Amino acid sequence: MRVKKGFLTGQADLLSVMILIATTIVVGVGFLGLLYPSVMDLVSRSELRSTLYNEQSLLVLYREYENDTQVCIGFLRVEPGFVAYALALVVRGQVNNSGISFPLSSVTSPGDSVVYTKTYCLINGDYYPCVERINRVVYVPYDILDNYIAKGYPGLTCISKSALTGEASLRVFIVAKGDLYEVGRVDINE
Amino acid sequence: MKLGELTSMSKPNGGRRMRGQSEVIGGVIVLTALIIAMGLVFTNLGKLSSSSITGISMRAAFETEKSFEKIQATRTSGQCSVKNTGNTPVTIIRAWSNSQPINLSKITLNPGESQSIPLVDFIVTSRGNVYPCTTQQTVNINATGPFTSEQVLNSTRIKNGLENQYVYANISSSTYAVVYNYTNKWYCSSLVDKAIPLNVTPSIADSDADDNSVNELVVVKANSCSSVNSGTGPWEGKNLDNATVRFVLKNVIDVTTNETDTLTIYFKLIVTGGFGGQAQQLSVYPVITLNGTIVISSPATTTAVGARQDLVNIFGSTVIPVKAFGLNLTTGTYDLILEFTMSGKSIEINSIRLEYIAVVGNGVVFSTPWTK
Repeated sequence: MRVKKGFLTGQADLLSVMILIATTIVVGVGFLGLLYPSVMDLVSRSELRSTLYNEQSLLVLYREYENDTQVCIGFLRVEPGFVAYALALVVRGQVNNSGISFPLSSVTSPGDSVVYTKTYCLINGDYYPCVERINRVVYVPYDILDNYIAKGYPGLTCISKSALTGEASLRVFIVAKGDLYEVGRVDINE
Repeated sequence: MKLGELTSMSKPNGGRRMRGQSEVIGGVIVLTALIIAMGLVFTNLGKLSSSSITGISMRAAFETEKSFEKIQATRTSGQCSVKNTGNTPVTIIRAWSNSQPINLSKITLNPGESQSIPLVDFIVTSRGNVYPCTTQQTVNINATGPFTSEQVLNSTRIKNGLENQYVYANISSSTYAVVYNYTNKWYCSSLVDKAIPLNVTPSIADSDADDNSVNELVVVKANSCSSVNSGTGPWEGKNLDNATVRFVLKNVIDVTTNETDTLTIYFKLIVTGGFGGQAQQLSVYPVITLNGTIVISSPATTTAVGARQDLVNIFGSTVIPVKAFGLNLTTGTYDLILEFTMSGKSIEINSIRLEYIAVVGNGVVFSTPWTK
């Protein structure tokens, strides 16, 4: 009987060790679970930041043509790829997209879309909610993206000078994670 | 010892050991979780960094290629002739005509290739360069180039000039004759002599001081050629702190057009002296003057080469941008005056020689008395 008592004592030790291990595992997994969202959030933000910085580097904007009535801006992506760009013409802090046109597109009057998401602008190299109220953007027509940007050729947008009533800039945005992020800007003087 | 005693003895120690093990295992698990988390963070940070660098390097390469694009677009008989004059292939993607963009079927031009397209105002390349299609302008630059042997005055031409023109030297308000040895015969010229071959051999030890097989025009200690005799040596300056030597070559330059933009004059002066054994500083400040219907003077830049201890070669040139100063170098014959102001400390000059003069400019030649 004494032998049996000793055996039970050993079982109790084993059980307590198993409980300890199980508790440790549960605590460890719980800790990992606690850490995981933070890590994934950090990873997600870093991926977004990486994508945005990459798009900034790849987008080339240049002034292609200008006369008395219009200013035409060429835009291309150094690495050919289908990226949906959205444009906003900001004149004296207000969006005025009425002057934007795409002469190379079959879409004669591109839609002026209402922005339901947040817009982030580049300020000193980092992203902050735009100071200007970017509430409307014009998406670059599909045929321009397909025939030019996706092939590495420059697309074209023209801005009527009648819309330029003061200090103006053309902002280029991309949609990422449901929000609009600025990836390029051209200042246009009246 | 009984088994129960053994068990009861081992229990406290064994329990402590197992509790320690579980803490270690727990620690390992927490550590593993931390390592996984940190690994994820660092991996993604690394991806961010490499992704950004890739984008930046692609952009840098693009900008470099863009800057290398060179196109010459010229209007020719109702068309625009486009030539790739750069060193990278160029694709023309569209053009502008009457303020309207025109899509072109992609025209790729390799370096040196050209193609004609319908007449447009501007062409746009795939890298975003815009070039106007312009009327070709013929640009005439009436400037100077490297001088050729025809533009150099030495040997026969100096001898011809000495025979036909007044050539002399002014040193410190005195006028001196000059002599030149051509094929072992000495020729002379002075303020009053359109020189003549000398019947005597002046006392000039070396007609080619720097031994480069080109004789030099030497200033002699005589005011006129008639006073040059076998004892006449080169002009010498002893214990001088400064001296101004002016070579005057009359009617040496013929300007045949009013279109001269720039005029360049090269020269080589040789100064022999008692420089041996001691380092001496000799400063030479040359001024070149063209004297005719107008007078133009310009300081020259020099390079001094001490070929030997007793000799200094002074190479110099000056560029006179005639039009830039609103001057018109009108047609006609001009005198050339090369003035050298030398300064130093107790300089010993044994001879002063002029080896060559070269004149380069649109429509500027040596006049007939010098070249015949």
